[in-house]
Amino acid sequence: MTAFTTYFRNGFNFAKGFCSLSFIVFRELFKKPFYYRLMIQNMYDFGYRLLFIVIAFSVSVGYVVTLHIGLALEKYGAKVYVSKVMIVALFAEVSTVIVVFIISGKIGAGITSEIGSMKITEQLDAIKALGISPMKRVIIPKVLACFFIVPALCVLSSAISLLTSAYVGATQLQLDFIDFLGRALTTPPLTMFLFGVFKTFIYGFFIAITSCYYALSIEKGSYEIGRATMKAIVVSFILIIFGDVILTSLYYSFIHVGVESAR
Amino acid sequence: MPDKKHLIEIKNFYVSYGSKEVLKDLNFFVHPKECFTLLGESGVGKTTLLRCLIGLKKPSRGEILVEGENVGNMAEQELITIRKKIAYAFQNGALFDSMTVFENLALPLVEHKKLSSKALKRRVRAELEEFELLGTENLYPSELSGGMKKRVGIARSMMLKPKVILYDEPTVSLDPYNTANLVKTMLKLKKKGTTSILVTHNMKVAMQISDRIALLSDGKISAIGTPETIEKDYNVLLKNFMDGIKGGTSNGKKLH
Repeated sequence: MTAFTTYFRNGFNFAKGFCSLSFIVFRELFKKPFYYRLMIQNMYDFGYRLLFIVIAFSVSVGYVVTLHIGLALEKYGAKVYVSKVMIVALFAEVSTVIVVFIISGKIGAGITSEIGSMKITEQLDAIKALGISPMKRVIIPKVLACFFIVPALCVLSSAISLLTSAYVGATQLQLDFIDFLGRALTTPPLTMFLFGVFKTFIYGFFIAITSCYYALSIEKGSYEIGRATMKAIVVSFILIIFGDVILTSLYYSFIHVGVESAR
Repeated sequence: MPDKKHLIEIKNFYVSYGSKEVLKDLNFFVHPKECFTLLGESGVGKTTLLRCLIGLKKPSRGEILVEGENVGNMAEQELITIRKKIAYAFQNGALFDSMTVFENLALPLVEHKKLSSKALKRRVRAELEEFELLGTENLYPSELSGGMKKRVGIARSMMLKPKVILYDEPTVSLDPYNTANLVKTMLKLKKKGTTSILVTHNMKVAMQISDRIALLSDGKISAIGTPETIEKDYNVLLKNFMDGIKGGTSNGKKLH
């Protein structure tokens, strides 16, 4: 009962903090000064840090999943459909949710530990003491960078996985490379692509706000940074999992049905 | 009406952390160009008081008047104006570790003044020269010694030419040589007419640079006066403080 109460209280506190931080970010977002350069610098840092792992993951997923599905479908004489299965799997789930998990582990942890250590070494207070808003100079550029870089990396990952998949189709399954890509890109409706990208913006926002929230709640000392980082990653994962279930349900209940009935 | 002669005035001032009242009914003022020192044991609320002065912490009751304006009631936007007037030199320097010394010093100017790149470099260079830090501009804080970090911290806080500087235990963990250097810097700023509030445990430094000293104990001012008065009239309190004994009498003198 006590553990349940603690979980409930922590969950409630997080929800309250998440909403209030999101509100402050939105409120301050349109007020001057704007730190575009810091946002771009953060995007570059995040993208640079993750590029190798995202490429490696995308190539491996494209290779392995195509081979598994292709060889399974070959038994039924349906290997030509592998491109259709791959595109849905990549855009709807693999390159959105799994890549977002990787990003959350790396970028989210980076944000929490950086802002957390700035807080305990009084750097955030020093920014305030110089008449500068830490929200505008530190938090918002990171939130925006995460918001924009997550979709960019997910789209990149999907593209790399698809190209790898087409390469595997051509070399291992004796399919035509161009035909593979053509079938893949014409299979799902445009809304599915857009929905896939839209989801990643939401996940990027979840990761950024959660990481900043846990960083700002550090109070006692450096030992808290590790804990806060771990909490930020776990809670981001939970938000992404639940977010994915809810968004996918909404997509198939409203958007996809609408598109199908309009056809 | 606030007294115009007082640059800073603290009236019936209380600060609490949760249910614990740290500062109780504090009353004092600071004249322009004065160096006012707060002495007291650790945890007595000296740093808290400095943080309240620039709005990093809100008091539970009372007033903190800076040029007649109550800082305690100010919104974050209004505090920006106050923070340009009052600089805060943090205990550990609080330098931004992702920036070089040059970038640390340039930051307040980049944010608040519209200077050309040339003027910015000239201004930062002048400040580095003033604080005997030339040659460190491309170093990161992790590459500096403790004394240098503190000097860079003070130099950064002086970039906007504030009226007041708040020193939070500037000589703590410094060797005598670096302490002497820092005191030299502080005296130089005092000579230029910068008002300062110094929080320290270092009696020698306090006696060297202060115009007035206040001894804080149990969240209240137990003695206040010029260094000479404090030394002469409150020597038991002072001796107790230096010997690590709480409380004591004040040689029969009425407290402030």
